[in-house]
Amino acid sequence: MSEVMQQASDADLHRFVDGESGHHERDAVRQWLSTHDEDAARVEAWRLQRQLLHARFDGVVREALPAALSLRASSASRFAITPQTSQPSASAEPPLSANFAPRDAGSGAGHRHLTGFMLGFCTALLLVCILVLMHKP
Amino acid sequence: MNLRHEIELVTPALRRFAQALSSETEEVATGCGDDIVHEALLRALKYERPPRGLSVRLWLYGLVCAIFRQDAVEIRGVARHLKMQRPHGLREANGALWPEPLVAVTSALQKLDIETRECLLLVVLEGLSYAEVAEVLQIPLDVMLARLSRARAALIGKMKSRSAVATAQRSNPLQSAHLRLVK
Repeated sequence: MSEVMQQASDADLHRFVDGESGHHERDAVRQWLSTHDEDAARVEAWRLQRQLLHARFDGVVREALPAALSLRASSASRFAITPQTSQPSASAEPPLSANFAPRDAGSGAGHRHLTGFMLGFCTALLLVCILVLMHKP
Repeated sequence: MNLRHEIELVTPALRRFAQALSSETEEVATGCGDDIVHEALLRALKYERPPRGLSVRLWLYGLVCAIFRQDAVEIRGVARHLKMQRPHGLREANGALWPEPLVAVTSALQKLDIETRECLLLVVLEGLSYAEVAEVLQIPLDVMLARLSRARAALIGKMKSRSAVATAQRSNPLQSAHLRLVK
């Protein structure tokens, strides 16, 4: 059985439109609206807003995901976080997989370069020493 | 269910939310929504676990809101750049013009302040419960309800004034020229 509302508050009406009110409350608000045209018009306008917003934006949900937002495009082994903010003016939407390129690959390569350089430097130093010693009177 | 899988399930709705939240002017409809989602996914994958025992879904909505607020200026810059590639502001994906009521609601939405806009969209477009929205935005329920109420009232007002201007322009071309000048 539905009780008659003394006064439906703004909150009551919102809760009604958004399916937040309980069974009894719903009946009471319905009854209130049947006798209060102004509130009924407001509720109707809110419903229209919902319909329009869904009509305008629901298409996005049905679209295919852009590659930039697909996690499937990137394999788990390539995951390492690199913030994309470093290059704002470059391609605006690099795929996530590109952003997750392994970070330590670069530093590993750098490490190898450094080792090679040091090795060469030491060899050159040794040669110089030998030459200097040989030319000593 | 792992994090990546959960993220994949939410991403389409997250794009809708971000696009609605960020469409800045009538000319930029798709705008920077995807950039915001992209950043949100990056952060989620980086932190790996939602805070405060949130579900992944609510966490991602919260991240989108936070990114939109924080980086609004920077991301809008990117959106202007993207506009060149996606000239679909007033048009649907198939190139048709959006019907006037949909343009009107989008235009009114853009004029809401961020706080009320995100609240309205989470409830109306994304279908979150009041409790969930309060959790996402980290605000008390009554504050959330007040914002929702303000958003709905403002949307009605702005759509009315738009249709009034449109009617005036149709009925009186001289006045419409005047209105354009003033604007």
